[in-house]
Amino acid sequence: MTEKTTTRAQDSIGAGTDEPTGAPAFEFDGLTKRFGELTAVDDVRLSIPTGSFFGLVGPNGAGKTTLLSMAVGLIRPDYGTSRVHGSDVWQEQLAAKTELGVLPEAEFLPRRLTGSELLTYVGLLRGMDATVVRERTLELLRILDLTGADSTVVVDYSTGMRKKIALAVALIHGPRVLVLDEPFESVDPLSAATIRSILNGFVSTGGTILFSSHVMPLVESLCDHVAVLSAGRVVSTGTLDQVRAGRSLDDAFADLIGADKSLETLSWFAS
Amino acid sequence: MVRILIAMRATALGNARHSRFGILSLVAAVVVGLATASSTLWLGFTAAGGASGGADQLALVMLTWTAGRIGFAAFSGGDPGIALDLFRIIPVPRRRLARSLLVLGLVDPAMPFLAIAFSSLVAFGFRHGPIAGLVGIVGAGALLLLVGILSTIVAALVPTGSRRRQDLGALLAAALISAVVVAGTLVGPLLATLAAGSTPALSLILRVLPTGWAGDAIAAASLGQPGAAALLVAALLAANALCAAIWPQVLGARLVAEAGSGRHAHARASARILPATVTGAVTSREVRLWIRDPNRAGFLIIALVVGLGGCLVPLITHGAAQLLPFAGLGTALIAAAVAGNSYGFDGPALGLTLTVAGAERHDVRGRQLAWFIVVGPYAILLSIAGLLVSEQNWAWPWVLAMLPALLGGGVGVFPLISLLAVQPLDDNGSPGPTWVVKAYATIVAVAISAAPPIALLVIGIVSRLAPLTWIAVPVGVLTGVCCAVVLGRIAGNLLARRGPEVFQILAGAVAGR
Repeated sequence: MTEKTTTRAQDSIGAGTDEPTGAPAFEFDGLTKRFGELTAVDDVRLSIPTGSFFGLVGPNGAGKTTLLSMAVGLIRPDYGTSRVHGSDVWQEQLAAKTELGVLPEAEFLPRRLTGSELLTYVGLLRGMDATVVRERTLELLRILDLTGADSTVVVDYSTGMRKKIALAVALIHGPRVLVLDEPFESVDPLSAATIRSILNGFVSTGGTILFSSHVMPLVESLCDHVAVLSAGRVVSTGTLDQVRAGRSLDDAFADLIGADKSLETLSWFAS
Repeated sequence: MVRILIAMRATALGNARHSRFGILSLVAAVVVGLATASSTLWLGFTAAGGASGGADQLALVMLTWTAGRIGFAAFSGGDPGIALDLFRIIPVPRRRLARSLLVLGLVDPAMPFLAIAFSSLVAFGFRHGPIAGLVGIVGAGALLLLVGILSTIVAALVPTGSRRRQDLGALLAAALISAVVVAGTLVGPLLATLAAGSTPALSLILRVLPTGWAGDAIAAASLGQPGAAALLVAALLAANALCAAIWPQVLGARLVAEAGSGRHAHARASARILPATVTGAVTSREVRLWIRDPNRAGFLIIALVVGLGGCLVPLITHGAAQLLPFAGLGTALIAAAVAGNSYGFDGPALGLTLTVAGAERHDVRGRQLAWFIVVGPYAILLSIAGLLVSEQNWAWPWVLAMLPALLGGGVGVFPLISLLAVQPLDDNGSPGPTWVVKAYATIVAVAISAAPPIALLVIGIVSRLAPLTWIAVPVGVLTGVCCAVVLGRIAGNLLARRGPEVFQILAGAVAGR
């Protein structure tokens, strides 16, 4: 699997042309994490089909980031594990992490490298050929409209530019599964359209995307599968239509997490 | 208002996450601080008998304490528990806010140590009579107040706004710290010189500076010149009043400082020199960060300046050139100590490495290589220059044997210590005062790596076997290589095994802000 992926990774930025097989691309098997008294993630089991655009939604503090961090091997779970195309993230790291493309948070990026230096660094770190890294770096910077900022270090990027360069970091090695935590946060509409186009292209060529968000209209417009996380537990999962059950995703979400939808205001506004 | 700010700081400090190492370091820092302050207080009882020489001695240590406190304020950028920029959007009257922040600066954790040290003026005064003692009390109090106000002002003056100004500020502060540390090594020999009264020019400079006014007032009081004593104390109080008066203006300027456009810092594209391998990629990243990251570059400046300065001091004070050949060795030691927080400097950027399977060992090797590229040539050239300039021919085997051992020891020890005692940076980008403890631990650990060649050198000299001293040279090289390879491998394995736990500490510090 590693050999196959490495070869593909050097052929194109896209996810390849694998047809959806129905086998899960990404599986979470009882992932659990406690921080002292708080159970941030509680026995989460999910199966993300190959070729799906999978949305993970939940209110702030539901445990989305902790869950994704465990799933990709950044935080060690107390219990459970995750598998990427059958490879265990903790036992078969090389195979699993080669298949994964993870959108790094802004703080993960070395702050004093320029965009092209960062992409070159990540590409070489992943053992890619220097010529391929150079070609892909140029293509990614061009498509993401970052070429003009090539001599600017990442710390001086705007929030939206950091999001875009982070996406480039996740894509450069040609992963088969993309994991994106809030990829559209603070991104302007034009850049958002570019990112959407890239992500749709990724899925249409057989790639799988798992992305978290709490913007329901965005999830509805992009995803074909959804899981709702509340207080560290999956309260609903399935295709978008199954989870919505005839309602808008917003309404379904509010019902599932038991939110009070009454529109309260502040007492001193009237005074 | 003051109470709110004190509570806010106390809450922020209470909520800060402390590792076991952090707590131990804090205890060690308090012990070292108390010991240093007490030794200064002791000087008050033992300073030169003559009022004049003693006042000069105290003026020197007061200057060192003051410069150290202000240098730290400049380098750390103020109190991490107080978000000064929050007051940009909260309309607290500026004078009220200024007054509150001044009081807050006076209840700073450093103040008790300064108070103990400055009490040496009181002890010194009472040795020369009750009037001089009273002058000592007022003088010490006024000086303490002045240092508290000045450190608050300096912390607010740390540049905000554009990234370039911030970077420049960090580098200037690093240069100031370096100067203070080098000057600190001068204190011992200078105290003897001042007691003897053999350097009138230096005495004059020390007394002209405000840090010398309190001692000078005590000397005047003991010589039966109450008018002069009162004038000097009044001058010190006036300096306080002046600083307190300009503080609201400084604060006002700080709170309306322009937000950084952030588009001024440009990095020149450079041709790839290092190989396009995984380790080469990490090495390139690290070399760039040592140069571009003002935090790292600041610490590196301190290492390069202090390593050289520490060996120049005996030459300046006593005309002794014996230590000059060892400047490169000192630099290697201190540079290893500053790199001992390598992973802490980068914070959660480690996450990027952990998303790549098997990258951990390359990350450690790349960091080691980059440190050697940045520090090695400087230390080697400095050693050779020191040997040639000082003409200390006896030192050749010592330097040639110890330098490779220390460089290799530094290469091996710093990533390991950085992973064993992870210290994330605080909101101001500072590893915090407890970092000093880790720095000293690193120095000791690196110094131990030179034990085998030193043992051979000593045996060679004691037994008068010159060839043995030269055998120490290959032994030193071998020791250095072994330290670099073996300790690097241990660090790489540690990162591969405990990467997620290290990451959790680093990411937790950011999330906890």
